[in-house]
Amino acid sequence: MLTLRPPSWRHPLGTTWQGRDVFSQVLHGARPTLIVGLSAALILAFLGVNVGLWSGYWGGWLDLLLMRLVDILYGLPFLPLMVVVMSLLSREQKYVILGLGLVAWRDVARVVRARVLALREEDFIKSARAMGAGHVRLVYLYLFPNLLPLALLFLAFGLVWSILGHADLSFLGFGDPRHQTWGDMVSAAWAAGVMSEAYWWYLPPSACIAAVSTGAFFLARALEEIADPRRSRGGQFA
Amino acid sequence: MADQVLLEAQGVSKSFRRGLNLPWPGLRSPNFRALTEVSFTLNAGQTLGVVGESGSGKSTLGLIAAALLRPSQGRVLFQGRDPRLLSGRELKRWRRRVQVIFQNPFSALNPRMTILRNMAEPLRIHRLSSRRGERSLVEEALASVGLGNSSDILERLPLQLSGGQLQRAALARSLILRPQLLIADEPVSMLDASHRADFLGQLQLLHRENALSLLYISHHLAEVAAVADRVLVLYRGRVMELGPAQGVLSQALHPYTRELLAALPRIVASGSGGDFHERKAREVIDRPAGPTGCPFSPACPRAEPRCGAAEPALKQAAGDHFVACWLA
Amino acid sequence: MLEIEDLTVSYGPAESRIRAVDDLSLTIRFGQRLGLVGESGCGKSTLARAVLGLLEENARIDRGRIIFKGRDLVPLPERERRELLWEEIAFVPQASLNSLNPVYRLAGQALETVRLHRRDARQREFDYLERLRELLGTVGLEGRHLKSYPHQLSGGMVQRAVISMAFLLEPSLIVGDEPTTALDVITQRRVMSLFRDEAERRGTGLLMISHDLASLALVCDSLAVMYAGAIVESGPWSRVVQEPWHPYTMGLLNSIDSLSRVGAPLRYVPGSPPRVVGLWPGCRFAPRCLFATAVCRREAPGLRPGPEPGRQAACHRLDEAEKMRREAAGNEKWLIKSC
Repeated sequence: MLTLRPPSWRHPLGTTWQGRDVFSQVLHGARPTLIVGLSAALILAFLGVNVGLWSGYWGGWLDLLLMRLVDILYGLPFLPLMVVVMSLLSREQKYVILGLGLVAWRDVARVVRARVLALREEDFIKSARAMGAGHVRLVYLYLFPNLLPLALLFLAFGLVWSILGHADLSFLGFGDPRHQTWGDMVSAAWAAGVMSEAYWWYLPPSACIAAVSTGAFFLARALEEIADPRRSRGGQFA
Repeated sequence: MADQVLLEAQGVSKSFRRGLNLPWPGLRSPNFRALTEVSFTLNAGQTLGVVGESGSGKSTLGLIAAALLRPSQGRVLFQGRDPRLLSGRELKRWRRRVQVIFQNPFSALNPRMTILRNMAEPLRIHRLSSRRGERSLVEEALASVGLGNSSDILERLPLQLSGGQLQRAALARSLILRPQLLIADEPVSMLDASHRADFLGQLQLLHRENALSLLYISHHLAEVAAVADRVLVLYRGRVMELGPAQGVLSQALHPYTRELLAALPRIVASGSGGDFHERKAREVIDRPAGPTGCPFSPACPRAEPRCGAAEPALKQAAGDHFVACWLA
Repeated sequence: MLEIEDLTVSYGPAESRIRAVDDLSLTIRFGQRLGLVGESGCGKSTLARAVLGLLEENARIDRGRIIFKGRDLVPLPERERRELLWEEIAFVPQASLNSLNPVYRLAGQALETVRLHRRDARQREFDYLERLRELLGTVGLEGRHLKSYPHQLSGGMVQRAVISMAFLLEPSLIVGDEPTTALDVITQRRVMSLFRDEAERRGTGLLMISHDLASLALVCDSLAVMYAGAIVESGPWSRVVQEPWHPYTMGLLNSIDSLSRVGAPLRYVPGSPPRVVGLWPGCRFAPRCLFATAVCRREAPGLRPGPEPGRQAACHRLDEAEKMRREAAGNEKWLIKSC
């Protein structure tokens, strides 16, 4: 049995304590990571942006209600909350996704709302109202497009948060046992007590986590630039 | 047609609550009265100019007339009907008759839509045209404001246009619904001085050719007089003088109106102008609902004791020229 | 005091540089109050920033000299430029509300600037405050406003406060960029009166830049008209305004003047200034000019003197000024028909 072997030709990234090939584990670990990451990011962006939009636009009781909800969420520490959720429900992937998405939207909502409050006073919004535009139109055709760069940025941040959050959960042993993620790998290495020797086991998955997170961030920046109208058509000079 | 009353303001007052907005009476901050008892009528085909310095409440009045803000007291009737009483659908249809253009050309259009799309919005909101028909209607509207020969403008974004072009596009957009009343809030203040006459000429043209009524708001008395038939002078939310443009300019009855006239920048400075009273008086940022008396009295060069005692009502001086001053 | 010679400033990436200031020459004597007027995009703000040394990253002075009290400012390193700023040349920018730090009180901001320039600031802090208080007083602001934050004052008050601060260190030149934007006529009047009174009293030179000619009338004794990057006419204010020599000045004056006459038809100059300078060899105003001839289109006229001393205009047909004026006043093309 080729247990705990350092990288070789046959096993480019070495083997685990149980003799499993690290390289293939890393490759396989990509899928759940990205699935969870993207899904959760989409949920939190969708939720956060919409809450922020309507809260800022409508104001009044809706704003009060939603912002108090956000405040409550802020009061709850992320990881312990997730741990509780996972222990109460089963440790399935979909719950991880939901958990991540339903908690992390609070930041998005806050910032989006602030931007909406400022945008709301702009002349083109008043003009649109004067033209007879309804609420839905104003929110999604006028306010939202002007928030697009912000929303995209949060989508990317959401991806990063979700991936890291997921990794943390897996590391703590709360991930879905059916889908081994990078975080699980690190966790396993830790549990085996071989952190000081078997660098080939936990370094690759860690590096992957870092790489995807950074990549997501750069993607967000690129999207932001593309979505910026100033870039695409060249503005005027002074 | 000319005698038909288009817009009527009846005792319009507006207060803004500042600071804490809690429902508990004891914790409320004092109100800021933007407008007090403003009344006027505007007949179809006419133009009314509203003049005042910053803080006079003129923009607030414009927003209320456009039903974008509700008066705290009083009401504004358009063709005899109060827009607040209209149902959602009726209100939407009503919106086609009254349009607004604002001061800042750079924030007047949605920055993320092309000019074509920006201008097509009113058509889409009211479902007035097919997608194909839109383009020609938009082109027609642009032509009517002097942007006709720049057909490549349609595909551009607002940030690619100059202030003058944007303001015209905003004007064209407001006209595409063929409104009966256009409310213009300082439309040329942010345009180059050399382009103002051009824009105003355009407004004059539209006024005369399309029988478009205008509510023209500005701080510049001469500019207002260039477009308006009648002028209303506002000071700290109250009407000081109301009358025909020519009359108000040539025979300004209220001391404040005279001050506005004297303050007009002239190309060749005429010394410090006899009527301009350099108001070195205490500059108070926000006057709370103050003591009784004429609001202009603390700064008025001709104030008498009775001016501070009781507020003068708007009374008829001659024909349809009204003034609120004890000394007129 | 200030002499600008053949200044050329351009912007933009290497492939497509745009000249904002094109071969411009201008002189300001000690105590002179010059108004520089032009449409947006004519390069006047760029000129101001070049003089102050506040040009943006991608702007470059290609050519020319800016001689202030005998020293050429163009090659001056940043540090020395900064010393000059505010002490010798002060700046009152547009929309001053944005130029003050919102978390500092007025007095604090003014003193900070003083401390940067005067070593005796600490001991004489009281003196400076007193002077500031005095300055504010002449403008209708009370001493207590020294302790205010910018957002507590109205736009007009802030503008006046910034002007007072500009005079604090007794500079030789104050550059004002659109000093009256966003101010209503009454406040404009006050602000400009303040400028004039203080400048007169101290003999401070002024360079007032604006698109609004009329607003500068109260302050300035000389006028320079700028078009597409260069000066097209200059001279004493009342002379230029009453009998302009350059067709652009004529059109400009007609347009602005027509607004003040109630009932009179409105006038304007159709077309707009060129975006890119130097596209054709002739006069930059030729395409819009009512009087352009073949010579005008072929050869660019430089600023040249005319029958009156102290005045210049960049036009080939200077000697026909009288005739052109009459024509400009009545010409259909410059009239807005609205009847």
